[in-house]
Amino acid sequence: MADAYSEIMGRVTVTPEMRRRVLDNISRADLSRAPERAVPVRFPSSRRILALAACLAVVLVGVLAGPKLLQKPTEEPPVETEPGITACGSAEELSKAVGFPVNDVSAALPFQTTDTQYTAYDGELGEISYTGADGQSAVYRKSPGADDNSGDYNDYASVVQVTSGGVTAALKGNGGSYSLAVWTDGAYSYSLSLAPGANQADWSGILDAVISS
Amino acid sequence: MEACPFPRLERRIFSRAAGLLLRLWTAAAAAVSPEAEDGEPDGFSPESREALNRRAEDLMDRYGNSVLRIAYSYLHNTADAEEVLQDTLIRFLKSAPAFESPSHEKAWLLRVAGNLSKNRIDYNRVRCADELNEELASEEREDLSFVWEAVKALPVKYREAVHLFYAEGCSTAEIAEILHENEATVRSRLMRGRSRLKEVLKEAYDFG
Repeated sequence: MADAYSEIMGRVTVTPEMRRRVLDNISRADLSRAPERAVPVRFPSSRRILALAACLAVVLVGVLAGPKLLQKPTEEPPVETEPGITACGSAEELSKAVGFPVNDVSAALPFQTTDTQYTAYDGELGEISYTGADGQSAVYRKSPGADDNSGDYNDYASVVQVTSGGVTAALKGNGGSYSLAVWTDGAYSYSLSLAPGANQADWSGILDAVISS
Repeated sequence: MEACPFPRLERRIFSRAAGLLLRLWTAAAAAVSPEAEDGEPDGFSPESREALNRRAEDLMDRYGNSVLRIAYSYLHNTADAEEVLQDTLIRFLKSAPAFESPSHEKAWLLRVAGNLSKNRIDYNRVRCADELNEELASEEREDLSFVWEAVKALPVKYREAVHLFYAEGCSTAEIAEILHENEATVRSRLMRGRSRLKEVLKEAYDFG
């Protein structure tokens, strides 16, 4: 934990005066819950007919316009979901967005993927998230430089080095199950996190496949 | 037999009048109920009110500092943070949520405090005084002031992840639960927050 920040935040405390003030205010506050029962709205029959007609019109428009909408090209441009974060449609699109190749590593994963998301962060970090049918997940990241790009700074009890495909990766985990691998090839840093984790032997095979992909 | 066009209309009028009378009766009964006469504005008996006050004290003792700190990390002044602490506890007591464990309870409080604080940043931040900065300056702790200013300058989305990780000791999974975000997004924000702090703090960087 960052010592300086802990020391700074340690100075922000509830003083006895503040405690008394807040509890006094709460003891006088109205703590009753807002009524939750909704009042049913009843339309006169003429309005019911109008509402029914509106619904039918919407269905009619959907039936007529639906096929045309479906014929539109399915390839959508990358979408910026929030400043600096861009959702892409494929590994190729992601590679274009970040300016360096980011390969799909689904074939190297220990589960069958059912959903894949491609995200570019500030145009300098490429991320591919995979989800499996039984809730498994994997996040693969690549960025220029040699710094740890995983964003996973949790304290792990076990950290071991494994060499695979000419690079040495740090495996991090607890109790023989490793959930994160971080490595660099000198030009780029990489990370792969898995949930659930895997043992060291399985990771060697996974990393071999990822590095050769 | 001659068909009469009015009975259906009359029945409808009668039915509406009866409904109106019933509503008036209910409202009148509520106005003269014993609870209203006892002067309990929120309808709680003295015993249940006492139980709520004890619950507030318990929450304050267990989570008060954490809630105050997260509010301060967003708002940078004690008075606003104190109001957020109070509003958070009131929301808890009003909604009385049920939890699987104390960690979920704490996560709920931190999430609500964070949301209330963010609303204040956007719309009605009241005060500008940063007592923490003044305290550090008066003690000539430039080393800490430097770190605090660097954290304050982070965009909110990075700062909240940094605060929860370093000040509250939350894991990235817990932060994701508190912020209602994907864990991968939290990791990205934590990573970007740390790299920005590294750029600013240089040798003083100690967010290991």
